[in-house]
Amino acid sequence: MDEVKNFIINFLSVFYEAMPFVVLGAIIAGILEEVVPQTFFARVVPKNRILAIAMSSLLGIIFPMCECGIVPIMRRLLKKGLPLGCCIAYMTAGPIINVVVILSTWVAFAPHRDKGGMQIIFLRVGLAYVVSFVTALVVDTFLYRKYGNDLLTDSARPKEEGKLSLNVVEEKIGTGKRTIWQRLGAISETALHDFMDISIFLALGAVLASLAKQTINPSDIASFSNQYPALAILSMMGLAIVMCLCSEADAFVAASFTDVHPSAKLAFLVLGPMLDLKLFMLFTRVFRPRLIATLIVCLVVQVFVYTTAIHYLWDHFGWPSPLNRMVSQ
Amino acid sequence: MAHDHEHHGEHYFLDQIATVAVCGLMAAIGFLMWQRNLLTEFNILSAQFNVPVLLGSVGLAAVVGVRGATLWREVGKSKAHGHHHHDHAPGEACDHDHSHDGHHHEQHDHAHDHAHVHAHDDGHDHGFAPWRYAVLLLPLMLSGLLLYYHFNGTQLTYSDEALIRFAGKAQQLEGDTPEAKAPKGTAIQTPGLRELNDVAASGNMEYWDGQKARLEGLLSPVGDKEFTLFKLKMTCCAADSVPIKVRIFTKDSWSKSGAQRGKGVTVVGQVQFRKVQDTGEFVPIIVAEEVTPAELGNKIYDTGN
Repeated sequence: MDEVKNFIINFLSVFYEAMPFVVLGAIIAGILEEVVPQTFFARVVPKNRILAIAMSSLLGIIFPMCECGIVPIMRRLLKKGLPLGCCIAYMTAGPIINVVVILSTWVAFAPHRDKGGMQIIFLRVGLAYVVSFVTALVVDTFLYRKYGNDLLTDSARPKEEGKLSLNVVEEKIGTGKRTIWQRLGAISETALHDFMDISIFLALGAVLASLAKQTINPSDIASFSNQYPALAILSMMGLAIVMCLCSEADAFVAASFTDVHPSAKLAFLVLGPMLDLKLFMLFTRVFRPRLIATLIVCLVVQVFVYTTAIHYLWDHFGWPSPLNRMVSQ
Repeated sequence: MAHDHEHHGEHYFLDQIATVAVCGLMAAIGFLMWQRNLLTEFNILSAQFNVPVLLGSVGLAAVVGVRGATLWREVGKSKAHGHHHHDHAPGEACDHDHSHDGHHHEQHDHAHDHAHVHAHDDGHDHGFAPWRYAVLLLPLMLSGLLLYYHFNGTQLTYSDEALIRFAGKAQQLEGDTPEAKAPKGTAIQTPGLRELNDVAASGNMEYWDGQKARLEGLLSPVGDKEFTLFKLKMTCCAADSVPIKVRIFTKDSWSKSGAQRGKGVTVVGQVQFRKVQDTGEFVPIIVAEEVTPAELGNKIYDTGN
């Protein structure tokens, strides 16, 4: 019975925390589907692929969205012809590089200046940008050119066949003027469909997260490998995937791991909003397995490599951390 | 651009009605959660999330309302339409005149705004898949259970062992077993766990060091005469809770007081501060004079007050 109670609390906390944002994302998706012309993105996205991806990684500053709400929006953006690389860049960086999350990271870590709190705030944003940019570039360069729209599920495939990248396609829509009822009907139908679709996989992700949380002790994972930076980083990455925290709250959890090296905290803070059990389930509504696997490998490898490098640079520069205090004593 | 569904398969309306019903139910339950303050009462979400839950529920209800109304019109038109169904590819010309029983549209007006926008690739299928609704029954059922707990007066908190897991491993402190120092007055202060930890983190410990204090929280054992007193601090939801801890040292075994692991206790004793062995950080400790079991119920979260 105790385990059932724990499950109910964990499940409902993950589900209801995400629910308002999924509703918001679904409504925006419905409006996008109805209002944005099929050729819009082809007109506004820079023709230079690298520039387009680089700019997309910063879109969260203008359109802040959490990782749950971003998925239905991204699916509609893909259908509207936004290049896949741009979507991946926005989807992965958006939940970190936005004002709300930067502020919450600041609030959580600014009091820990003597343990490298300030460096963590800036490095989180910087690493998120690099990881999302490189991931999007890899997907666009190596995957999209080979497989094209086959990387997407039917519900995310652009309506017009052809390249998702910057081809302008002629819109072939009906010429009849649509009434307000027709427009509202279309918006509400798309919004409810997307809400249902995402909520189902949100619920399944919440089930997985709740079950995992009942068997894993975060403090054990955080502390068992402090002598081994690589293991500490991998452990914190695993924790980020399992805990399924909202990017607005995860900084407070990371800050509570007082005796973990900042590099491992960074791994937790950068990977969590990009990949967790709940997001994995949501990805299945947009991407085919080949793309999901590529995303996972790209994100995990990059976060691991960069944060491991930061671990050694951190000590090299003598930045403050709980562990180098330990060494000095 | 957008899509109309003037021609539908037999499962289309079933799927749409089920979608409207399930989403409407979710909006209603979400609204009840807000109206009865259930998510805060059961420490599932922090109070700041009440408004997003309300807005999410109202937004969903509004979309459901609009969809219900437009669906009603569609059903009406579909009945009036009553002609053969046929398929044609996206963009394919629909070169028939939609005559009904030999009549042409011009011959009678039945509010038939049949815009020819057959963008069939609208990104989702309309087949009726009951498993989708079955999955969403889980959050609906668990939310219903919360309502039942609320009206029945039943508490819902983490199990004792889950709470102890939150407390995590006890840190190694420097120095020997602490003993009470000369007291600073006799008044019993009631600081919060968070206040003592903030004081220790800031280094401004002078006022509190040596004060007599009463604290309450949950018990996570460290040794026979030592335990961690803790509460949880939530930022957004229960899943992101972190412990706020004070180490307690007792003269006798704490279990003699009747206190139990994972349960609430009240501690009266002297506030001191000790360094953590590896990190050199200061943390608050209490040299306890008195430990008594306490019923905390749902008050296991530190609200900073």
